Amino acid sequence: MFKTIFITEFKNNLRSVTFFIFTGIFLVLVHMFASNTDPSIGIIMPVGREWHNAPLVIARLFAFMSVYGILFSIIIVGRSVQKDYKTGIFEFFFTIPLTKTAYLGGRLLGSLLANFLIFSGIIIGLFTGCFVIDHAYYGPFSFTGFLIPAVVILVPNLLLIGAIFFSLATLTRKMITTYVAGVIFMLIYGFMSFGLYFMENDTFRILADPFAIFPLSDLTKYWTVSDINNNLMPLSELLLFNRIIWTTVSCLILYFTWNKFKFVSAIEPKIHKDTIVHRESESEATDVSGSPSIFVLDDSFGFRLIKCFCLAGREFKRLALHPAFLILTALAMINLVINFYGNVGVTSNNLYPLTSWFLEQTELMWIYLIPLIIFLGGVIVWRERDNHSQQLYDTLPVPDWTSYLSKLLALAAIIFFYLLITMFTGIISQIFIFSWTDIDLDLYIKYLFGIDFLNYMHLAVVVLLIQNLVENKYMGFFFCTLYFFLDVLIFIVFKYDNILFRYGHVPAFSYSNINGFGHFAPMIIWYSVYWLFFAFVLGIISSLLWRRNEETHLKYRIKAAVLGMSTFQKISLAFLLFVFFVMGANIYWNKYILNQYVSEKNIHRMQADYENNYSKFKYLSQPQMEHVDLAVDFVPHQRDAFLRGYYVLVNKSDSALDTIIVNLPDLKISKINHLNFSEESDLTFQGAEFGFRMYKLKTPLFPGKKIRLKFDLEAKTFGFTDNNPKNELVRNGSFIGPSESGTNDYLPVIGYNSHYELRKNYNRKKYGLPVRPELPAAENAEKMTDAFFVTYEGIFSTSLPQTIIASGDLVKHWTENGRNYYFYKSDVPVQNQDIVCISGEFEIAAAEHDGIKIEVYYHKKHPWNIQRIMKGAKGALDYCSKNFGRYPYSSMRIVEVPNYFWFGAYSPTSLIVWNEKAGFVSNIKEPDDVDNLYGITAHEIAHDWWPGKILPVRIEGMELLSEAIAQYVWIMCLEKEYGKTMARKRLRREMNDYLSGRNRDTTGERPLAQSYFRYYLTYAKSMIAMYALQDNIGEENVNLALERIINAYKYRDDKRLKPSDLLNAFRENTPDSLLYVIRDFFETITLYENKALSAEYELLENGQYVINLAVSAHKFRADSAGIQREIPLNDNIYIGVLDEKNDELYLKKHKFTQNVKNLEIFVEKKPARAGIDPFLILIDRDRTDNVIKVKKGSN
Amino acid sequence: MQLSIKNLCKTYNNGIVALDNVSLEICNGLFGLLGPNGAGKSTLMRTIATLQEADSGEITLGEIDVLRQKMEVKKILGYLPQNFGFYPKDNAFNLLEHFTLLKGVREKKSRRKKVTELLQRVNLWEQRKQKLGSFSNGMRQRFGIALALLGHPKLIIVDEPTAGLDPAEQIRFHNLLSEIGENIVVVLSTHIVDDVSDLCANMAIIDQGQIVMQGSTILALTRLMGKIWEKEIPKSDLLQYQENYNILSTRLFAGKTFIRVHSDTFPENGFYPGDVTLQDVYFYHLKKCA
Repeated sequence: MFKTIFITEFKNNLRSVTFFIFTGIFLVLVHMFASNTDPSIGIIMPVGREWHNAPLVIARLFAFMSVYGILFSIIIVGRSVQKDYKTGIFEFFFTIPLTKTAYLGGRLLGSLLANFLIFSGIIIGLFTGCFVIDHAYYGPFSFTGFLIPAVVILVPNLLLIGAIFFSLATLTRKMITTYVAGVIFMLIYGFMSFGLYFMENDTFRILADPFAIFPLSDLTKYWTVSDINNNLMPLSELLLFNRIIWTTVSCLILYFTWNKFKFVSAIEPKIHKDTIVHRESESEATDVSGSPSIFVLDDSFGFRLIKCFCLAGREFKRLALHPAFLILTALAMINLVINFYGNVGVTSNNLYPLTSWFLEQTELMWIYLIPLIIFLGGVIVWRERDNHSQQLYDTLPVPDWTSYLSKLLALAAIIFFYLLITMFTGIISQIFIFSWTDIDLDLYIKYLFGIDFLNYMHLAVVVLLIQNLVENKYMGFFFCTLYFFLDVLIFIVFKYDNILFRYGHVPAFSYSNINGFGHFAPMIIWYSVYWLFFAFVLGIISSLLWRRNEETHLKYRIKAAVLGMSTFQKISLAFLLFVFFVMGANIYWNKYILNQYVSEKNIHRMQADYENNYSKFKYLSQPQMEHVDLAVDFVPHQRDAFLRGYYVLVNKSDSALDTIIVNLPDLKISKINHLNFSEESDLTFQGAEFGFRMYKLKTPLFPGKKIRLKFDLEAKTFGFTDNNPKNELVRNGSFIGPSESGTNDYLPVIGYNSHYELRKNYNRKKYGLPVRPELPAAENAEKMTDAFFVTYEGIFSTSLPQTIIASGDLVKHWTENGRNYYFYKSDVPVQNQDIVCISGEFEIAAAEHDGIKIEVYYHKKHPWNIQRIMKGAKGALDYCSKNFGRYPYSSMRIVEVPNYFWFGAYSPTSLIVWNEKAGFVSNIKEPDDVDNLYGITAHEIAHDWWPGKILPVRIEGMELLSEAIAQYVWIMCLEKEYGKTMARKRLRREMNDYLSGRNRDTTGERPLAQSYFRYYLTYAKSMIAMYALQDNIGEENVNLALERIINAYKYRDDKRLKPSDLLNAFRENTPDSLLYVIRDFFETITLYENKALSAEYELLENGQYVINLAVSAHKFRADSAGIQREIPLNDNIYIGVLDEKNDELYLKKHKFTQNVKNLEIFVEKKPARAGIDPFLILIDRDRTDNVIKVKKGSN
Repeated sequence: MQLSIKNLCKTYNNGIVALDNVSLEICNGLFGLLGPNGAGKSTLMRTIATLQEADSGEITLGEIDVLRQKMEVKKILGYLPQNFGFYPKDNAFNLLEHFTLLKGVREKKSRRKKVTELLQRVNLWEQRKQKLGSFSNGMRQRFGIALALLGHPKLIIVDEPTAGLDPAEQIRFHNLLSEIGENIVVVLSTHIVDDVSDLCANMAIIDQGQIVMQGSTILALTRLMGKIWEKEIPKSDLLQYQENYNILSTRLFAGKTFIRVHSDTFPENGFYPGDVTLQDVYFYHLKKCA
């Protein structure tokens, strides 16, 4: 009997539509993940060198999808017995000779097997995904690679989910309870993972996660690419133990159900409330039985509206209680709170929980809301037909438009309700999780109900239209999904960015706390209203075609709609279309005519063309900039800027030159009043790419001779655009300086500009350019033609009451004609691309330190960290001045700017420009939290020397000369100000960032001395390496080397610095016995596996303690994929003994030549822990075993 | 008020002719439309109820052109479809009140009064708070009548209302229908002869989209009076009888086979006269037409 039930259950599932829909959903999703090779997207699978079909990736997919597929499990497994109750067939099963085990077991296992099989969608999706991409992205498909994750991860997960919901549905016999339980379950799991995420104890976390998501990430935290590709998923004892625990739980749940389940037809007859109601109201009943009531029927327009609201209200109530709505909303809110917490609350990098941060997280809400709208839209359109009550409704005196509008209103209400929940989730989490009361209600309303609501309503209109046109609900779902995917495919995957055709979408914008919605506001409003009118048109079409009788054939409905259209409808349709086109024309006018349109493709093409056409001039000898003279006038309320000035260029080569290349792209500059040389010259060539121009001088420029390039430019903004908006010019917080490419697009650039070249090999391949290293290797060092040391002066002006902050020293400030004028100047050479100016309204905090004025310009609502920043500035100014030479300016200005720019914090000459998202809003809660504000300020200040005073060559490893030293200043200043403990905390974080960043590097790991710009190397490993270096050779020796370098290369653009010069300087100050440190940390990838083996102590008679300690050490070299090979030891490694508070009782380096060492150590106080390299100077993947508890000795 | 249907034709997309030049005159009172399954009854009912279009022909209800002035029809129409259901979680009282509002009754008080009245009339007052999903067939059908009676309809259409009801419910339902005012048009479409014979003074028979008979029920019966004969026969002889007689129906009683035949004269051969029932009229016309 078991077999029959099992097979029928399984077969029925295979025959159901839902089975294929679920499988299809998995297939499509995973296909999308697997076929993605664009590293900038990286959904679920990081696109790197780890294979898309690595066993670990498969295991992760199984784990995630089993949780996200919980709804599928509820429907397939949960309903397996419950549907017998629903159809009423249960009485048949209960009356045939059948054991509980056979019936329940057959149903459960049959449906579980089907549930398991829908995950084949993942496997097929992975295959098809890999099939369409390059071989490099996936490895050989192995059977065990699928089998082990399926057995270890998937089966226990599904069993647990299945057991829970099968039991609930079977015992309560109600699906609604089960769905609600599903929501509660997700809530609990959500909050549990939330708690686990911030828990330090890995072991507990690994055991407690019922779906093995944490174990998978914890156990492979520091896996390298080669580990991921070549190993099976981790099968540690802990993981297996986790699986055993949760499988046992599943079995217990199932046993309980088996025990409780009875073959009876009704659970317990309940006394119906109705009978009571009935008795109470009997008197009322006789009351009205007299004369039949007379009334008039109201068919006025007003009452039709009331009917409409009434219909919508009923529908809304049903939707709001729909399990899909409850589950998805609950999931969405958990996700939202977790993301919000993750973004502002993670212990090491807190931010103040501003409303705008929360709203930023809501951008991902479409993941939940779009399926919800598609689903609920189908439900309501087909509601009457699904209930077979359409003929009752369709014969009521309710016009078609009322019926249609009521559905739309219901959907609108549900979207509104969802957004309202979102808002309250935000407010509640701000208040109760973060005790934050500065709630920007106005912003919530504008953002959620002004922008998001309309956005989702546009989709709702389309969903209703599609469902109205198609023949059945499922086709409707299909076409809605198709619509959604096409939208994504066309506009996101193919990057077709003419958003005039992207129905219902407002272009991307960024909200700034300093500048508000700023110049994005008109764009948002115009697009919203534009699509609103189109939505009206779609709405009228929908209501004309509305399915209101049995003639559902589309041909007929179209005929009827055309015939039945009233004059009013015709006129309003024409009017709406007219307004829609007028709006579209206006947007077109603004985007394509008032503003220059450039798509991402165009830019890439232009970059490729620039390189193809002009790279032959790369080594053409060009005059060098020597002096820059600027005059910039800002008109902030019009978002305009006028730039005038000249460059003094000098021929520093040995021969005369007569051709000068000037680049001046028209991306930002709207008008060139003039651009010419002080000597007579002809414009011989002008290219379309980045304003590439070649001038021929009438008389050649001889060596040592100077020439001026004069310019008078206008950068005006017109109207609005979503494409290439001039974010640099805004009402509050304008910033003119280098763009992300490293070039200032507002000023002319001399010579072939290699910054315009396409950088990412992914893109270079697409445009047929040769693939190349991101930076040239040391032996191919190229001259960097666009960075020079120049002197400069500038007169800047802006409207009152805004202030201008610019590079250099402020010489003079005056007010004239209602404008603020500033004269800034630098006699000390500055690097030409580091000349920036900012205009905005700021609060100012000022202090003086050793004759240097420190001024902080900040947004009035972000006052929290001024003191920390000041302190950091003072600390770093002291440290750098003392060790690397005097600070050359009389002031240091730190400015907060809007979040439109590419940097977190950036330090051009004598300034630190700070993105409003990065520093000023950091929330350092506890006194023993690492003061990152102090650190970042110190880091940025160090940039005034490194590379403020030197010019590194653009080759691999060049960041050693800037970021590595800035990181060094950071950690040294932090240690001096806050002590060793805090420095160690910071280092621990860097160590974690380094180790976990290694496998995400798409190009493979490189040693520091050859690194490209990578966060985990440039910042994280740099700090570790520099700290280890000074720990080994002494801080004074490091600083001596640095000072020597800076003295040799200071302000010289004829002699540029290479990373090898720095390492050589270090070597000169390093004894031979320690040279390996430089080799290990900077020139190779070296790791240790250090471990404390045993530790025992005895109390001696003299009150001292003796500790017998055994430790082991292994040293490895790794290649770029992380393949390790052990090398012999000849290293000094710390041995430490710690007390209860983790303070050191003993900490000394010992020479290791053998892997195992036994030591006897004497300390004065009672030891608690002891081990090898306790504070992690060395890079060690397993850091938990370095120190162990010291036990009392046996003898 | 008079409902008149003239030359109504309807052919479905799949080629099935549902209505073939149907003309009917229906006055106030209960009118029975009798026909076998698939004869076109429901198509006709739905067309009158504004739910379907006709290919040609016209329907007028008093002054109203039913095929064009649908909104006007809906205002005075009560319709009980052949198959219908409800959102199972609604309760009777609320849904009825909701429909009353949709009919156009503005004041809540008069809505509640009307609903109370109707629920008592269809004997569902005690179940008014019960979920519609738990209603039995009979209760559902009575609830449907309550819906059809909302808002003083001038035209009520009930499509196969008694199918699937148990005898007691059937009687109850018949009583309900018979109470519906004399001053309005009630069209009852059914394949159950008893419905018509119990309730309707006037009737029509429809088969394969055509009206094969229409007129007074009594008159139709009298026309066959003295022409219906019955006989018990051995089952094996049935074929033989079919050749020789115009057999209207065969029935089993206590395990024996009885046949009823139509004959203007006494067929002898052991036949004896039978009482004329509407069933005979029904089969007579169907046979005649075939």
